[in-house]
Amino acid sequence: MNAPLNRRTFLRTTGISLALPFLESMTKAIATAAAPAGANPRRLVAIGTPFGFDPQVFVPTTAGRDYALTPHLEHLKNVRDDFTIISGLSHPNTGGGGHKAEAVILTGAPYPDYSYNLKNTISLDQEFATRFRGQTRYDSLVLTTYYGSLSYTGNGVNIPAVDRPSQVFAKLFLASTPAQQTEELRKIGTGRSMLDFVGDQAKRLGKRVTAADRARLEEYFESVRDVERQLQMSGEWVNRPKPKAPGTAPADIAGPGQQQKKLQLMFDMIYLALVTDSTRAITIKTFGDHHDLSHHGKEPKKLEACRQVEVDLLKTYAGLLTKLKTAQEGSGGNMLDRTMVLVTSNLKDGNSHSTANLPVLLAGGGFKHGQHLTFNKPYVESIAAAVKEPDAKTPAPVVGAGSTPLCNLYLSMLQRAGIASDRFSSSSGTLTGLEMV
Amino acid sequence: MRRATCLALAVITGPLAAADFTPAARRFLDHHCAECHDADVQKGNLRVDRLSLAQPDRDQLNRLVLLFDRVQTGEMPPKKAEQPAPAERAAFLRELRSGLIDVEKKVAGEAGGRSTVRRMNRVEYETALRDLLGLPLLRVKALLPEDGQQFGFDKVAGALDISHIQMTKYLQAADAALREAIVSEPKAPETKIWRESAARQDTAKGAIAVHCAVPLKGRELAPGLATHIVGNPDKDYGNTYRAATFKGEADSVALLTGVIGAHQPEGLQIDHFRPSVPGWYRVKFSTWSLRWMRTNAAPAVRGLVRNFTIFGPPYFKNPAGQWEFTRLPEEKPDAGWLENVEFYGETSVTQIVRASLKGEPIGYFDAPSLEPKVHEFRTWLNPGEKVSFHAMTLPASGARNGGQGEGVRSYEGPGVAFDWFEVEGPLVEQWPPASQRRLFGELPVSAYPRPMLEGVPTVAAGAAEKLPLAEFKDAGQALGTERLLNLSGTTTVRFNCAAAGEHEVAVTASETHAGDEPAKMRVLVNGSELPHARFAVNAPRTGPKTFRAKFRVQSAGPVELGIEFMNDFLDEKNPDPKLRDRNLFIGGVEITAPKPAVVTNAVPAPAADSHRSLLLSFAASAFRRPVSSEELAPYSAIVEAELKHGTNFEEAMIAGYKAILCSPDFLMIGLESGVPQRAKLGDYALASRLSFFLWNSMPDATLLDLAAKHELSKPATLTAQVTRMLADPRSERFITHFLDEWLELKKIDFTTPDPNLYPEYDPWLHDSMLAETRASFRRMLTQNLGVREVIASDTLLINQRLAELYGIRGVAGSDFREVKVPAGSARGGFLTQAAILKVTANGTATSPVLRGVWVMERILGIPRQPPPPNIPAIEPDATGAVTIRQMIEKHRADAACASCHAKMDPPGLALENFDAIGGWRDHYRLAGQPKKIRVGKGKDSKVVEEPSIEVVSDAALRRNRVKLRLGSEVDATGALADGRTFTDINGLRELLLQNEDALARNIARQLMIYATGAGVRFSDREAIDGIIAKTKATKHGLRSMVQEVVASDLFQTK
Repeated sequence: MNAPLNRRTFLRTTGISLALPFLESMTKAIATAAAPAGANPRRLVAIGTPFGFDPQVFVPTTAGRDYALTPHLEHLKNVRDDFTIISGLSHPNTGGGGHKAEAVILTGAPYPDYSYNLKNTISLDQEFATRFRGQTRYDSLVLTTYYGSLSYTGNGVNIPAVDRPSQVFAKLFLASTPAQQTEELRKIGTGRSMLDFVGDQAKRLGKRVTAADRARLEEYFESVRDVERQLQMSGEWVNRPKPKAPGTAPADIAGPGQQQKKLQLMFDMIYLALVTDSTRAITIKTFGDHHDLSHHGKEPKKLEACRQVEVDLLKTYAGLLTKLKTAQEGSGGNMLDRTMVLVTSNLKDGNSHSTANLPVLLAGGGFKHGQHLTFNKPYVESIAAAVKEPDAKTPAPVVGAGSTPLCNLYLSMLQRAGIASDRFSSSSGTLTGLEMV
Repeated sequence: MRRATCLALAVITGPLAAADFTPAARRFLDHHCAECHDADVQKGNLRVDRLSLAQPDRDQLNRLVLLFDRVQTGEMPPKKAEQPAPAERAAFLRELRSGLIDVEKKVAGEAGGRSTVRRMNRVEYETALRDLLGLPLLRVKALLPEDGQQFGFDKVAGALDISHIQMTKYLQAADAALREAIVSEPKAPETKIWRESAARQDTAKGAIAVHCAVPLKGRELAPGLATHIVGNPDKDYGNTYRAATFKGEADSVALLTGVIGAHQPEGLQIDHFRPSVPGWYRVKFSTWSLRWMRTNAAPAVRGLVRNFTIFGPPYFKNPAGQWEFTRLPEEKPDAGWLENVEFYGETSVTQIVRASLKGEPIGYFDAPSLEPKVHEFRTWLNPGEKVSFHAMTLPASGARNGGQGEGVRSYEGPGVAFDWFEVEGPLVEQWPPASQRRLFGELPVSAYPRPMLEGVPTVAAGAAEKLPLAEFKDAGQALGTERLLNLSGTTTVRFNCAAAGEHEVAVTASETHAGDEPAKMRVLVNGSELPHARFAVNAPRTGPKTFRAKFRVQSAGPVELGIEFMNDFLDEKNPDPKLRDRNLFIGGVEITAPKPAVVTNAVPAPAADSHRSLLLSFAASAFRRPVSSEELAPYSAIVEAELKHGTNFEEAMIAGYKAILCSPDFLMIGLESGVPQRAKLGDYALASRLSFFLWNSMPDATLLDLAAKHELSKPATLTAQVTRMLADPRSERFITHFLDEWLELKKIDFTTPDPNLYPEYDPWLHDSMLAETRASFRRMLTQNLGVREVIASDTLLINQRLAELYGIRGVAGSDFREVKVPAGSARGGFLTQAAILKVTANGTATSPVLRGVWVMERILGIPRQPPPPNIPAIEPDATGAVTIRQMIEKHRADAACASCHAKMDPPGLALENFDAIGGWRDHYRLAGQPKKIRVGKGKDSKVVEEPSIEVVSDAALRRNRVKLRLGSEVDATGALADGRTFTDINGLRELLLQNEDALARNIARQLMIYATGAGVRFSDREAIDGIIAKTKATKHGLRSMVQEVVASDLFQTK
């Protein structure tokens, strides 16, 4: 590979901040290893956080393009025209889901109460990824900075997340030796023949069972076939070289705490994954360490600390957007324009534990941004009232859910990626007011 | 208006009207329900005009069941409305009931029985693998994705989806587990006993150095303890301190603190013993408690913890210019503080020691006053692992390390002494271990023959054989009598080894030199590098050298040898053409085989098809039923194909076993008796249902044997087996898992109590809480105690830590024991157990709503209804401005909220006297230290401190006692939805106990869902009532209920 860049130079710059002049050529340098020629991909990064954002410092009090930046959004002012803040969206029928509704952040499946028999459905990223299967080394990357993941398969099984940046790095860059490759291929081969046979066994059984049992077994065969398909694809990718590593693997941060640093490291990995076109669909669950703090009970000290944690997340998000914006796309334009970067939560905020009026930020990906779209006017009005008179004797009424599902946004995002669906989960249409570029 | 709606409905549902409500029932609905539940009002989102028995769908079914329940309990029509005559109500319910059962059948369709085939959940998968492979500590659960829950349990088919994620992980987990099951050592490791004084451990010395421990000779301070100044008082007074060194001999070491400084979180460890072989070890230690009295150990009694301070400048310079401590005869004690344990047993103090491994508790042990007690436990140790000991009941801080004190010589406080540690192990019951026997029987893997390859050379036992270079393939090329490797790469050759054992390979090689290093070569066998087999070939073409390496052949059979040239180099511009290209030449390869093994025992050589018999017995265990050889053929084929490829016997078998572990017959529960039918379970399916119920795992030989003889399904046999299974230690898995799910104990760590509000929450309390609830359930099972024990019990099962939390005196020590609930205590029954109170609270606050809903759902069996879609949320306020009761009352002022909350909240209100960690409270705790406030007005005003309580802090928080501000008084009064009132938890208990059948019905239902992996349907209610009727005689004893669940048709049919 004729890298126009010294690898060491790149190593120095891929840390927290990337020296901009190097970026384009480096991007080309490492992208040539993997990106299929002539590809003009759409990408998706979905960031989920479990305790929402304090609406009073997050949601603008007026809608439209000339909304005033709130204290939280102030940290995104450099990218103001590259994102849209959307308020008043909810997943319908999740009123009593609380923390458990974390499972449906990206799926929109109903979770009406805590004891509900959840039947989860496919998550946004997987719906996205299955349409582009095999085009990149990994269909999707499922990440977390603490535990759990946002991604669910078509039959509602949670996909375990990678929680160590070093592991992501290894997946992206560390090539195996030829001997390891041969062994890996052989293993893949044995794995496939084994499953093939297991599937055959199951099929014989399947002919004689009752309908409900057959459905269960059918699910089993399907999963076997899926693994086979995946093994086949990984077999194909084993022989293709991985991109050259930009330095050594990052050091992981163990234990709880240091949420921002952990997210920053993972964002660096996400950036590298996108630049090398190793995958086009990424989810990350993050900022889950401040549960106790999020139940601040309006105690001034705790509230302040909780807001600071939220700011840490938003600042890091702004950093990722800036980085993508300054990276050149192979086919011209910047990477942010082809990458949808979503932030949302299952709770409006931790203290209220409300699953209505979820916080939503969408950046990049080829939409006209720079506005505040709202779908629940009374909600924004109640925030405006609370902001105006924080110590009011009769606090502004708390507003319930509006009628627009968050999945309308998800459908818009899928359509933007060229996926011709007219429905995703609870969607009732695309999101009005969000226009493509 | 109303009539018009009904008419419209009649038109729409016209053709189906025959199956719909009779006119009488329709009249009932119109007359009693439609006023609130019509198209206009739609209270509770219900429209009776839309209800129909003719449209079987799930939503309709749920509404009808709710309607039935509300009318049956008399909750509907509401009290203020006109009530139907009893006969009218009964007639309506009768019709609704039969209609409902029909609807339910239609909704279920041709499902074929209540339950469906389901996969194991990840807990079952792990336990089943442990039992199958004989690996009691196997951990694979974390590899698998978390399972869903339905009807409150992770055993229900609908929640156990399978996807490629599971399949991929099953492949990995099976591989990992099988490899863990196989040992490589041919001989059993030797069991040794190691014993050493506790005081000699490095961690003991570390503790002594920071005054957290004392070396003892008998009960006196051991001679040889000195202190010296670290730092320079002149330059950096703040960082100057007194460190201790001990150079003498000690009998024991006594810890004086619960934590030994931030740098030694591991506590006191057995660090001079380093296990080198993984295995079970028996650990013994001798411990006792004392009261340290500056120079000697006195009987352990409770008292003030005191440091003695020397007055005057702490350091002075001696004539030699060195710093020394000031020594003055006068010492004065600090005020001191009450020590950490709130109260002890009546006579003597028992301090508590925790043993742990890598932070995971192994157990809690008592240290009695001055009487050394020897404790013993078994634990699995991996190489290098060290067992830790912490004294849980000692203060966080001990003797001063400043200049003003003389360390432990000027300290008085409680301590825990350790005399010696003994470790015996590895404990080997048999060799090869059970895990390997399950896979390879009695014989070592090397005994199994492998098919020889045809057309390749064979190295005979005891022979030295030259491998023909012409047979080498892959990298390189033949060049004369040699093989030339001119590019980096591996050349390979395959041959047969007639003998098992250690072989030697000798490679004669030379190089053409280029660049700054010689050619490098390494030797591989079956793809992996041999030890000490990387060579720098410092041998010119004229003087080849021979390089030797050794490899083991597990059993006679084919081997693939590889020789890799590792560092090709080309320098075309080098002026000397001889130094331009680095190449490797192989002149010859010779293999020396070991002599044939002398047969020492009379074990006959295994047959050539022994892989089949091994697979057969493994598959029979894994599939939990006999397996035909025909069924087995494809699995054998996998092994045979691998062997043919040249894979060694062990790897080939692993491939076969892996296929078995990924097959539906292993993973799916319900296939044991062949194709599942609607009717009675087959013998083997019944055996599995029983064992996954009570052991969370596969049936043992006894159960399978009874199944084979068609005996298991006989009522007497079943009863006897349930009794046997509950008495088996494996039933602990049922208790743990059932309670994890039913009472949500698995959520115990979902929130961490705020250390500012609950400084006393410590790991011992955490572990004790869980143990209490599990032990109480075990006691109910063993003694067949009635269901009222859930609500009220006159007996507690507690240890010292829980006694402290509950305010019960006279319980000393870590063991759980039965204690009669003292008069005036609010404890007794599950509702007031710390674990329950903890899981129903978040870390900071308790919510009567959440606790109330929990009691309703888990204990009373009344399902919660989802909140209306656009309900406003409650925003908790802990500033003290608004109480939770005010918030709830405000919420309930809204009629729409009140109807549900009137039912949900009351049990929670009665529990308001219990805080987030299960302690009793009369006032709410508030964050922060109590402040001085002025009360009264004018000249009568005075400054007082806010009300507060003093709490003993967890040692890990490095504090001793903390004052906490108190807020408003707790109000635990309330009224049930039917108007009956209570003033506290005891009042609520009485009300709940008035309907024991309801409590029993709930437990029977929960057990049934757990046992059968399917929800209890409306039509199953009769069967549940049957169980309740049968257990009435024992007042619904828990064991009777388990027995009756198993004896029921619901359990024994699909």
